[in-house]
Amino acid sequence: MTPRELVDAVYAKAAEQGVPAPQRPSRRDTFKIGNPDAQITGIATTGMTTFDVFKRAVAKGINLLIPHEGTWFSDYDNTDFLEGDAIYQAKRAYAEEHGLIVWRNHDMAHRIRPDQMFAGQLRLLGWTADPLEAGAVPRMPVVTLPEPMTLEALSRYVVARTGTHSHRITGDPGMLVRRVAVGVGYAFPNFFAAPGIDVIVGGESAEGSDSTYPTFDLTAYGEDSTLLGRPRGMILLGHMGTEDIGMQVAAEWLRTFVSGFPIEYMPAGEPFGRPI
Amino acid sequence: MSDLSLTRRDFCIAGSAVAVLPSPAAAAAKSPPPRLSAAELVSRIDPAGAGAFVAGSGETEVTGVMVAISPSIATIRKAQAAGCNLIVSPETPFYGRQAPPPADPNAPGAAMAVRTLEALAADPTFAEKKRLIEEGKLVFYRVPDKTNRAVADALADRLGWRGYRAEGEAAIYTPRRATLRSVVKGVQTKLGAKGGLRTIGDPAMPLKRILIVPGTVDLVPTAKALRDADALICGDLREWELVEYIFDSVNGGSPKALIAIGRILTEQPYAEALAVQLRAAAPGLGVVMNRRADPYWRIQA
Repeated sequence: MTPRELVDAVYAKAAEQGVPAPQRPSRRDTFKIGNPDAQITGIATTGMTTFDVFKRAVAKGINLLIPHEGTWFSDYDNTDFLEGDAIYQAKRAYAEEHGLIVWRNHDMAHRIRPDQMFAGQLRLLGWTADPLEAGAVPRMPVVTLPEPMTLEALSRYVVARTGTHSHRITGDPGMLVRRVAVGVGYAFPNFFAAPGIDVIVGGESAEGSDSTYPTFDLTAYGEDSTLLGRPRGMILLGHMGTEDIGMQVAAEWLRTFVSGFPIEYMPAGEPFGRPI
Repeated sequence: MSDLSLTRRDFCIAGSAVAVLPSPAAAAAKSPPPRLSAAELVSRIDPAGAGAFVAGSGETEVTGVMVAISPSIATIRKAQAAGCNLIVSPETPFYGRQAPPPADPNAPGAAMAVRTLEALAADPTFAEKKRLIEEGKLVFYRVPDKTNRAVADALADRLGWRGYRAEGEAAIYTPRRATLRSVVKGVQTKLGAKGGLRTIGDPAMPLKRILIVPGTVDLVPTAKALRDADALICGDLREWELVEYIFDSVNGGSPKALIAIGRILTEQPYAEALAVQLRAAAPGLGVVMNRRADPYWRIQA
């Protein structure tokens, strides 16, 4: 099987499962490097095709990488600004030398129902999303905790489940949390996603009031809300702390209709170092 | 409404400090404060008019100024208690640009933007903040932040790098004998970075040319400027873009370090410099600096 045939199979399987065809071709889900007509020796799915993931794939004889995020450092993998850039050139040369092929699966992973990225994160956290209230618009998952717990206790639980060391938390550690909104990557819900949200557990969120709606400065909002007696907080687990794991779900899904070579999940891991 | 009970949560203000800057001239002369409008005052520190009034009227006569990195409800209360009716900040009090949602209802995110704006309009926290600002006849002036090289220079000054700015457009500094570890220690002790601090790189790595981008990073100009630097100090940045680039830099043969400290801390020295400028611009007028601690904390894993 070739990467091009694999992509056709992905779209066919998604259509079979009732995922409507995109209105226009995805700007993200494209081949980033390599020959789409080569034979696949193995597939690794990952949150992000870092240079480190390239090296680990080569060491395992895998030639097709399927990341959720970009390879060339911008959302649409536009490489204009990287002309003459030594890091870009080295990464590109390494991929070419080792015959690596990269096909990004971002939009499709989010289009499949349930969304593979949220499915992975909820499984990692051990949570089930509350059912949508009648008439409510579709939203990111909202979870009512089995038992209320303090933000500090919730943080310990979430950090232990996800194993992140570069997480950031805002809010009163002693506040009581009953209902949580869950985000992944840069898909970060706000406190208005559903009634009664105390804490957002997500990946990354724009800081400051430069951000346009709906991602306004939630740190500032949470602080004001807390001061007025309605405590609110956030647990930011980082982009890879929330979207690596969804690519494990993507790998499991691929295995249900593709075979003949290894398909493995290769987490990129947190890019940030341990606290200094 | 119990949601609006005005409970003061100590943790919110524990890390903040109000410092009334010494005003020897005013103390000595006991002269009445100058009568001037908010617009007149800010024109003295921002003659190009790069900032904007985001609440209240520039015609309002200034009773006192608070400079605040985070124009929160706690800040507003402190300003009022200190007799200040003008708040100068690099942020707005309304959590985001007051941008209308996209005209095209089918544009990506348009429906969510509309719902968010509606929810915000009905939100008790937002309503209480608007009420405080309107009833208090408070004026908010938003100063430009990251486009202003003074912001990077103020941060560099705080880190002890005055006089070490390299030639060229980009805000690159060349302190002597710096390592990632020593710079991290500097942002911890001199800026109070705590849970918001995130780094990439070997702590022992020597840093010779350090690029400072306060606030939120713009990908393209920052990536270009970084080619000529070996470290980036910034506030906020997108983790699947420049973070990946810096993470890849070791394997790419040009190791670079990242010291991300969050938007608030990168803008703080600039706000303090602004307070000094305001004092010089209007001797006798009360100028209060409201410092803000790192809003983030972390669980020791």
